[in-house]
Amino acid sequence: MAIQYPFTSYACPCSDLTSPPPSTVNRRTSFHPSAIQLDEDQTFNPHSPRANHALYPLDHLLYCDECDALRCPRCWTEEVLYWYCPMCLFEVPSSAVKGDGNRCSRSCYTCPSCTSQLAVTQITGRKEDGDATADRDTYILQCPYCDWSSLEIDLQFDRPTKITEQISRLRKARTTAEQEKAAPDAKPLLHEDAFANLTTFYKEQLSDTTDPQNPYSNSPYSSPANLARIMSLYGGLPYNALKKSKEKPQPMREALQPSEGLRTYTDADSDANIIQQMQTLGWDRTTSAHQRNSAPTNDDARFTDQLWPAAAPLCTRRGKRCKACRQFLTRPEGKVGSMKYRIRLLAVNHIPRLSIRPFLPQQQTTGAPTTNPAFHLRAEELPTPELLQPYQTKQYILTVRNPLFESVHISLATPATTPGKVASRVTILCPTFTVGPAGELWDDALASTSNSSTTSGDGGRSAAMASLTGSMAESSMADRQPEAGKIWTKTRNSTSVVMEIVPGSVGVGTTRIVSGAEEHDDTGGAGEDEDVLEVPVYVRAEWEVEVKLGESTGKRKFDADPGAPLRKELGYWVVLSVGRIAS
Amino acid sequence: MSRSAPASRRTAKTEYIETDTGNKISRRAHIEGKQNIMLGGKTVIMSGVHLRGDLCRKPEPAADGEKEKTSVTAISIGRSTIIATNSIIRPPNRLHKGQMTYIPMRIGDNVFIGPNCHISSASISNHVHVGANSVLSSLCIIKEGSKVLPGTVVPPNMTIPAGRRWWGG
Ligand SMILES: [Zn+2]
Ligand SMILES: [Zn+2]
Ligand SMILES: [Zn+2]
Ligand SMILES: [Zn+2]
Repeated sequence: MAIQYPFTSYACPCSDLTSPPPSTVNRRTSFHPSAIQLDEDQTFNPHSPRANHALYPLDHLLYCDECDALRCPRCWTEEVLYWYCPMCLFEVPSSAVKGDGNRCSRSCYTCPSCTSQLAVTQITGRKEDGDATADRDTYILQCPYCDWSSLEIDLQFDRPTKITEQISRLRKARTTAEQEKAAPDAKPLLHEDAFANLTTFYKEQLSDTTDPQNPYSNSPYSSPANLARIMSLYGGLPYNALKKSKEKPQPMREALQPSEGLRTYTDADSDANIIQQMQTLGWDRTTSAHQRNSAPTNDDARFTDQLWPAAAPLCTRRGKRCKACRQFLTRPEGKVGSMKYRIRLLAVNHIPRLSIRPFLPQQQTTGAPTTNPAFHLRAEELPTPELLQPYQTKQYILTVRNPLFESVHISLATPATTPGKVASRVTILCPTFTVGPAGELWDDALASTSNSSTTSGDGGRSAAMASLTGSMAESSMADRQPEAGKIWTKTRNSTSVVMEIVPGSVGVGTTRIVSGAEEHDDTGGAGEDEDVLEVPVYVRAEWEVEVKLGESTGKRKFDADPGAPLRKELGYWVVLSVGRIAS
Repeated sequence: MSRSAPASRRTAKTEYIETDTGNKISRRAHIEGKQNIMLGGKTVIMSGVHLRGDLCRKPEPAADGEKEKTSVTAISIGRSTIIATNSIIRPPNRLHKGQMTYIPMRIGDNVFIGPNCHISSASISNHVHVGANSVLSSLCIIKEGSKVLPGTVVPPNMTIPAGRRWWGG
């Protein structure tokens, strides 16, 4: 789907485009105005080739309240909290994952042909087999999607339960039979057996080299190298002992025999043979890479009739930790299927959010259809994006919404001309203002429902809110003109100001590109989205937090005495992507 | 399913019929077996949607000429769920004791089903988003908060765990 302008994205402070990555210590204690000053000095360039890696929609970011900073996927680490099977939704303990591998050991199998879930189906014995077997039920695994069934590899089960046991038994029986059939010198080693042999071999190797049966394991002479060095200091050591100590750091050798896990090329399936088979069976019955990778049992399967059902791979549920202070940023509840979180520090709930929309006179906003793509069902219903005309002043309403329970003082800073090849002039008519505190959820709900009957649309609602608070009459809204230094509208927890943008001309850039194509190539395609008008805005939010005695004082260190309000300050870059400029 | 008379008779507003509990049903939706469909309230059924409430488990044959029970639920849809245009909601069927029976379908609260979908799931939990042109095959189970991306085919009997994004087909 095409990108819908305008939208906003937020720069994570971990990028060196904004500032050096925050260190744990100085961010935790207090704020450094000098560091923030530094941020303001160097303007964030949204057209920088690396800017895309620093910009995220606000919903994708988390907030560490210990470090007081935004956190993006680059500055959090993920930690597996538990494993579970996506089919039977049972949790698998980590010891079982370590021991048995990351696949479900219950009767959860996926189709080796199409990866959908296999069902255990009952089949009654064939009639022509005679009465003796007719009443004995057998069970097969069947794919409800592509109709693959375990009959294709001639696999039937006596019971509908404990499929895993039955499969491993049948597989063992079949492979040993195959191995006995094959010539004894060209005995192909199975993957599972080879792996088991290799692990035991390597474990032996490790124990041989690292554990020299040293009785002084806790002494400083524990390592043979140390011992040898000290012995040589004092001179004199029998030749044999010296030789032995020199032998110690010998390199680990590799497996040499099949019993140690060595697997060499065997002639069992000669290439000519395989090509012959491929010719007769055709493409459809040759396995794809995806099918071969579906399970370890299918690694060597060249044809679809060699595919075994694949045990369901397990899923994980992960928590996210801040890389700087290691505290959990999100931590889901430890129960399979639960979507609740014990800890969830979303950036949306912690930093003021900016949004931008074109400034339209009042009468237009009420009747205009919504341009929010989230409310459009189909792509074709979306209005075609309007191109910005160069050198035509356009006004936008910039709304800052406060999710905090304290009122926040906001200062917005933006370069007078946007960075990048196309220089557009940007003026925020009122760059400093305060935004009121957020209330409980139901406050918002009540406020919006009580007014939605009179006017629809966001502009109407904010106007109605404004009339409620008594700051201005709704009738005067229609012919109001934006003024410098005055805020446009204000609701309980959001404030809107007017921004004027004079888009620059793309023409200057394009002629340069046309005249010197090589020069353009040298910049590595940097001119690709140069016609998108992107305005970097530095937001600085300041607020005061009432710190109750005994609360969070253990966590935080600050210089002020515990009773006094704690002054907090947060600065971050926001990029407003306004739209494309017509060329 | 109870329907109240439309609140207003203005021509521009008669696309949807609103029930007592705030369900909005398009006049252009095709609904069969009304008595077997339950809507939780504030649910929107858009135009062209097929709700096959007639496909339900046949009630036990009435004993001794008594009146048949007719209130069998075939489709139950929760609160604030949206079923977008031209989607087909068809209860799944299964061979049970040699007979083809229909299994009631449950769709939770706050579910969004995009346009042109074909839904035959056994259950769709709350807060599930199903993208446009998806096919949810017979008896699949979509757990809470999952998102099925547009154009996805979910095979029969599949379980999608809670909070997962699912695509392909
Ligand atoms: Zn980051
Ligand atoms: Zn399982
Ligand atoms: Zn299949
Ligand atoms: Zn942190």
